[in-house]
Amino acid sequence: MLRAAHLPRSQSAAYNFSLVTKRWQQTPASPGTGITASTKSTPGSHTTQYATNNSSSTLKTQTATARPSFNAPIDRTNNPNKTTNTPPSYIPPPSARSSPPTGSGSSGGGGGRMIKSIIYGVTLGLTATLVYAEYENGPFRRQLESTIPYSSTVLGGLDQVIDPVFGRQKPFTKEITDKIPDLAYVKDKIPGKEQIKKIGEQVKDTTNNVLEKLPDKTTIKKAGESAKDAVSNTYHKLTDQNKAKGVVDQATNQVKDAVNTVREALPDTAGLKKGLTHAKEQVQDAAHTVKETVKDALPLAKGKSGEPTKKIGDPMFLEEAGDMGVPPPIPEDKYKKLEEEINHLFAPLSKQLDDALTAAREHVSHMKTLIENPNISTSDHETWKKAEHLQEQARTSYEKVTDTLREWKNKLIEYTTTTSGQIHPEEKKVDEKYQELHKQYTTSTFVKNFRTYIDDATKSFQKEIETMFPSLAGKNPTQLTHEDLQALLVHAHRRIVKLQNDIARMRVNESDSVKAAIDVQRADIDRLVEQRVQERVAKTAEQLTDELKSYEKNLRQQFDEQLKHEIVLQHQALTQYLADVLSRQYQEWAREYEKQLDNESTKINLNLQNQLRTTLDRLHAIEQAIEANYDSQERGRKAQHLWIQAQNILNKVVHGTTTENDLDVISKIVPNEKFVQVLFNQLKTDESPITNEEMLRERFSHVKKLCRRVALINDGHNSLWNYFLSYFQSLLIVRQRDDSILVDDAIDLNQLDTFTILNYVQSYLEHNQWYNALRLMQLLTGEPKNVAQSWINDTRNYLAKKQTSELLEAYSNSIGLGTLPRTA
Amino acid sequence: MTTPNRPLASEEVYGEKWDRCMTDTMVKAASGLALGIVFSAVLFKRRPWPVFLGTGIGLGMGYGNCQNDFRSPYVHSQPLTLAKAHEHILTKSSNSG
Repeated sequence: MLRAAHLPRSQSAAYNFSLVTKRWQQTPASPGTGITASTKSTPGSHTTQYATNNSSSTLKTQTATARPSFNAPIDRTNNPNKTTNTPPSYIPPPSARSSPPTGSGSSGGGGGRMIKSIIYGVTLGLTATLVYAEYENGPFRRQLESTIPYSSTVLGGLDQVIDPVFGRQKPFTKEITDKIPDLAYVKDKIPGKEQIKKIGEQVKDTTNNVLEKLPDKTTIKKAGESAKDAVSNTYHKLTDQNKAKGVVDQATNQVKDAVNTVREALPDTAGLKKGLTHAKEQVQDAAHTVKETVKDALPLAKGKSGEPTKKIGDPMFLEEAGDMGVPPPIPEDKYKKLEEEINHLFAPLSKQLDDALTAAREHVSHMKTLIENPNISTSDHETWKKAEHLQEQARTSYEKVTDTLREWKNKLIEYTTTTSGQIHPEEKKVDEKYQELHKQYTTSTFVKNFRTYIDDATKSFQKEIETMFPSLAGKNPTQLTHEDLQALLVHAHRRIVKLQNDIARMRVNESDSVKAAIDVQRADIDRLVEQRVQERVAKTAEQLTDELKSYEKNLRQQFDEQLKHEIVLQHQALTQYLADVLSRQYQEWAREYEKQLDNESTKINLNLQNQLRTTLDRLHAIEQAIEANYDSQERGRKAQHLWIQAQNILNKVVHGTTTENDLDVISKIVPNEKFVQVLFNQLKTDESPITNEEMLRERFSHVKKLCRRVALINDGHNSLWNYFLSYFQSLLIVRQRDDSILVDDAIDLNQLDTFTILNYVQSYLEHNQWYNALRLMQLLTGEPKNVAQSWINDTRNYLAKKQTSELLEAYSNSIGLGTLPRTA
Repeated sequence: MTTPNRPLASEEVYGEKWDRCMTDTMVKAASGLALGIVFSAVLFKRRPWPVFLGTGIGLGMGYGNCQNDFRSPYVHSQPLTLAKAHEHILTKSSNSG
């Protein structure tokens, strides 16, 4: 019993399963394949078991659904087989077989269950995230809303439900806007960060510029080093005197240059300072302006109670309680009383002021007259007493005025507070008058002491005179006191100084006068000189003009002469030029004429040459044609000869009587043809035995007989009994006359055996199809092949020879065709 | 057995084999018969069995020989001439080309 060694995998298992089912359908029908069916049942059972074990549920469902009608008969036939054959370790097939639908259902159910579980899990996750977001109401919710598009709407809906229920008032999820309360007016006034930054940057820029202007240390060093080098060079070159000077000059120049560069590089210190101060000022100004503007812009935090709030518009700015600025306002009747009092006070006050003023003025005028009168003496007591009296008057009146004024001022202050800042109209007048009074009074006090000053002055003068001229005072020189001596010395010193000053003055005067005199004299001389010079100049001018005129005349003459000369030359040049042009033109035309002439002549020449050449070519062509004709005829003749010979050979080959002579003749006919040579060599070297078709046919009949007799013998170990059997068979099998092979060339290679082959070959040979016969004969196998081998070989050789000779003939034909005379 | 003057065609080999076989078997059978007769006459008191034995032995030997002869591997005559011709053509073409 055949058994499957390796059980196939699921696909092939399904295929096998289908096959198996087919077979079992057919089992009652065919007896011949009964054995095969029984052999297939057990491997089929195993494969189905394997299918239930390994194949996918889908495959099983497919197969199960594809053949639902097979299940019932299969169950019935399977069970007895299975129960007898299956080992206990396998899954019991009836259960597997009977529950393919439920198994498929369960397995299918398993897949469906998976999908369901997945869906449930996903929805669970989503709801969990939403609930947590709703509960947390913070960054997680915001993040969720930002990432997932429609979550915000969902959560918003939830909010509408949940907030009233759980009492959540403020939605924290709303964005806290970055808007601060309305500070527009403040913001406009405040310079802002940008401005402040700008100012700061400006300051920075100015400082940087200043710093940049300062040269690098390196440049300064370089300048210094160059100076040093110059100096060292000069030092080295000091030996040579001549060069030294130049070198020194060079060095000094270099040093100067270096110093200049350094100086230039260094910015102006003044400029530097200026820049810095400017910068500082700018900064200060900026800061100041900022402060000011901020101060102005900020609302008054402290208001005064009773004042309407002016600048504060925003409730965010808190109002603090203000200080008590003034006492509470006074009622109106008191105010009226005050005014009356003030008016009352005004009249006497003004009168007092006037009186005081007049007194002061009087005193001052009196004193003035006294001062200006040179003849005043101290003994004039009346006038002095008058002055004193006046002064006293003035003083008293002034004091009175001051007292009343003080009162007046107090009242005024009250008045101003009551009327909230209004000023009494007469206050101004009073103030003016008071100012004037004050002035006059000061002058009077000052002037008061005039008398005492005069007295003091006379006394001191007297004393001085006494010391200078002690004789006037009635004292001897020896009685001079220390003081007197000192006073004398002082006086003497003073006189010396005075005299020295006089001397200096006089010297200056002298030099001045001398200079003046010199100047006067000089002026005279200059005048004279100028006069003379002018005369001289006029004379020379006359002379020069005369000379110029003559010179001009001369020049003009020369110019005329030259012009004439030039004209003559030009005339000559022009004529020459014209002559040149004419000659050139003539030459050009001559050349062109010659060129054309040449062209024409060459053309004619070429034409003639061409004609000559063409005729010559024709001549040559005719000659070649004749020769070619002759050649082709010759070749044609050869070809014919060759053909004849080839035919000869062919016939001989066919009939089996070739000789050496024939072949040699061919080589003589066409010694140059390579193809012929090849063929000829082939024919010559062919050492196969000479046969012809008759012989081969006879041999074939013999070979056929033998082959039939040994048809059953193959290449294995055959006994004589086999030989006998094959002989017996050959006697029994009758040849079918089957000429169908000639019509339909198709051979069923699976159904060849000796007899059929031999039949085919017979029919081929009867119709002279040797090639097909040979091909088929080669398909024999076993002992018949051995028997027919030599026949096959001989046939092959014969056919080869024939082929070569046919080629030869064909080649000769081809040659011959080329050389046939062409007919139109 | 005999060296042929010309190479044998394969169809004739079969015939020749059969000839040899026949002759050989007949000879062996005859000689077996003879020996059998001799032995039966001499040793076995004119019993017939040695004759049959001898003949059978002879026939059997001949049969076996014959079978062996038929089973012997052929030396196939290859078509050497055509192969040679092919080589010639190839060399010629390479030389000329």
